[in-house]
Amino acid sequence: MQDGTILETKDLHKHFGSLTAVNGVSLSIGKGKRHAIIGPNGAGKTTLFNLLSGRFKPSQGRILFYGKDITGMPPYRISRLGIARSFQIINVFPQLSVFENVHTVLMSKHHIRYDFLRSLKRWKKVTDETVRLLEQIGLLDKKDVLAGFLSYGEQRGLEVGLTIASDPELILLDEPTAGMSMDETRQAIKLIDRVTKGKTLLIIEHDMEVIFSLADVITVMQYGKVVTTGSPEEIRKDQRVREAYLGDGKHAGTS
Amino acid sequence: MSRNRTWKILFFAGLFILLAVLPKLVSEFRISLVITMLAYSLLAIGFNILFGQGGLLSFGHAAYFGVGAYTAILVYKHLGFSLLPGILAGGLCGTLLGVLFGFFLARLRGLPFALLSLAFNALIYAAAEKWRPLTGGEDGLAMKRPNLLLPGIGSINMFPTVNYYYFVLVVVVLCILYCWFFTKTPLGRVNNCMRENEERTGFIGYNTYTTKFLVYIIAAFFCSVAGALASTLQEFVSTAIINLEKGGDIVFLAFVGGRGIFWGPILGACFLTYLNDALSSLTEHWAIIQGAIFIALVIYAPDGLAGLILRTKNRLFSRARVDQG
Repeated sequence: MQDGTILETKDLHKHFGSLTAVNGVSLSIGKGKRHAIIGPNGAGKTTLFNLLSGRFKPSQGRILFYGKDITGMPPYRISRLGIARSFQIINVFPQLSVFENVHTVLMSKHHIRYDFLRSLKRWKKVTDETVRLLEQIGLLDKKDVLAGFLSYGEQRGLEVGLTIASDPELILLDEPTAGMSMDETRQAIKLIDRVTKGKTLLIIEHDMEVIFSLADVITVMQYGKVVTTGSPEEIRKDQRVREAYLGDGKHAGTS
Repeated sequence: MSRNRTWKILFFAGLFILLAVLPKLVSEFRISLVITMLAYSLLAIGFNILFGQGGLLSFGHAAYFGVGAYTAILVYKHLGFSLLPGILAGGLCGTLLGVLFGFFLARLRGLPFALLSLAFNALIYAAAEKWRPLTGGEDGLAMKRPNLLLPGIGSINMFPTVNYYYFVLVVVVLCILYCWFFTKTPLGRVNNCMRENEERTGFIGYNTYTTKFLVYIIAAFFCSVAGALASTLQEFVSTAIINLEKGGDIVFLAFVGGRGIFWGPILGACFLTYLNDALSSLTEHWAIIQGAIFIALVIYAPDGLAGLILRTKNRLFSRARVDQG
């Protein structure tokens, strides 16, 4: 393990029957970096996230978090180690209020999970923290609204909120701006930029504007493999990336 | 807001007085119907922790009601237990069974969960039927109500149904108060999250297996206490209490009452117990009428009687507001 590496994958594979979604991915995520993963649809980006967050078990290969083998751990254990993820589709608790959504994440963060003899109100500190977080993601005035009744953009904001609420060391965001209007996207980027300061971020994105304004490092994937990894400048110049993904570079921004 | 609170206090004060003086108002036979309503209310509320609050549909909770019922009668008969220890023994046995079955069921959700719970119920039914020396099989077991022994107060004769009514009232109210409190605890919250989105609950750091296991056991406890209260009232228990039809009836108590609202199942339990009694004394074809009422409720009031009441209330209030404006 190199110094300053937070997450490392070694020759990661995932097969679904005869389909190979992830085909030998070896990646190294630097601590404190904002690392973007790009690539055409079906390149295996989301499957990679599913492996890293414990949703699927890899068919082959290893995942190391701070050098510790976390391969095949269930999601709740990976989450407790400090890796949090968001989802491409909205994946909140729709019939719970916005407050309750975030509050539940914070209860888990404080290791208060299965108590059935004491009231939730007892932990005043967690309540205060929830209010602060809601303020940060701009949803404090909607705190009593059921999450399912929020607008699309607000639900995406809550989705990011749930991911960062536990104060994780590594944040995995899967297309946080998917389906958003230009204006909503700009808002979302500002939010992500603000709430992930000083954290390690691994983000899947299609929007080139988002990638190049946010990322320190970019990895390009295709057919389940890593094509190349480099700084935004290097990626912009890379001939293979231009051919495989960016077209000739003029149409960047569409997927 | 404060007006709302005043209404609430008035409502509960009224309810308290009504329940306290009820034995003066109705005959002894009617009191035993009210006791049944109370026991079924607890059954429905306990079951709804799983069903309405946790989103887990079980067809197998007659097993807990039945095990509680059998245990109480058995410990009165063979071990000479007095009333309260007998009821607690019923709750404890049901809880232990919940631990055993929950160990397997907590892995599942949806249809597999419902089907396995049904299979476990069938297992308990078969055991009760075949283990005749213990359970008396179809003929059942009879044992009269023991006295209530209270340290410092002495022995209270439970033979008069009115005395037993007050005992059941206290036990059921305490249990339901806890169930209400449960919704305000961390586990109660996670239980709601599991209903909404089990996968995400895992991704925010909760062990979904542990959550389901604990919730399942808690529900089993209250359902078996309800069973013990019911068999102690009847002074009799047979396999009819535990059969598969009964498992479906329990779902109906919660569904008809309104599983999405805390007190809904109480409404369902009281309504269905009353209906069962009224219709069966009215006509021998009561099952058909009951069936028709169920169908109408499922189609026209999918959120149950409680949902119907709340919607009507909202409509009336909003109309009143419009009239004023």
